[in-house]
Amino acid sequence: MNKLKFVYISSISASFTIGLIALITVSAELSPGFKDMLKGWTGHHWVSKSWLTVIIYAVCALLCYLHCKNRKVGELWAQKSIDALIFTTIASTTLILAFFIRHS
Amino acid sequence: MLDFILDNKPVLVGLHLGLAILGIDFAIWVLGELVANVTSNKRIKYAAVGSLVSFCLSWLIGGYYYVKYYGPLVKPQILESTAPWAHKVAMEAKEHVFLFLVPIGLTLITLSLLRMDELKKLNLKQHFMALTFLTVSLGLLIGLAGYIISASARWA
Repeated sequence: MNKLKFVYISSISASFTIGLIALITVSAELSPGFKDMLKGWTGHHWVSKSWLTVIIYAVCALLCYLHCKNRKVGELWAQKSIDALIFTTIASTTLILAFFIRHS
Repeated sequence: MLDFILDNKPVLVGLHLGLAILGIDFAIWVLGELVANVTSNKRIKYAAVGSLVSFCLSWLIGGYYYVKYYGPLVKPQILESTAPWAHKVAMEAKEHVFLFLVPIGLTLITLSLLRMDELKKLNLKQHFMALTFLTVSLGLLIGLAGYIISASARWA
């Protein structure tokens, strides 16, 4: 596997993981039932989200790997995937911060 | 030794903070190597791995402290203080944004596998630098949130 594929797979998986964790966090605050379910998995909602971070990244990386297995990943794909990661991280951080400021 | 660490709140906070600072420092090191245009990616690789390992250890230790001590002991104190927002905003944002550092750290490692000539040829150097800068910025933002929480707990 070429190194560019690793970059692409990790960037896409990280973007997806970060975006989903942000959405899970906001959803759990808005839905006490969902937060209780997260708490029920490990005893603490944050510990469940920590595990979910690892699991979502790993599953997404595996799916991306299977998707890219017989495809060539070009430099443009890699560049765009890093841009997407940067955008998702900034957007997710802003979302979380804005949500908790508004709901404090 | 492990029992001493796990039962000692200031040691846990110190390790959590120290390792997070180390993670930020390693990321700054990566940035410095990229700015300096070094030909070999050997040190970039070590620094990227060092950053991820530091952030992961900080995550584990901080997580243990958060669940075992912060929730039952510190959180109620802050919520009853004159600055409950320190928990409601700073801590809530910090504990969740911290989770972003691990997938980003893994991506920095994949980028560090590329040599400088490959990074330039593939037009990835600027992207690598931007992502590393974002990691440092997030780390510092989380550090600021940590300071706010500690200060509000101390003065509660």
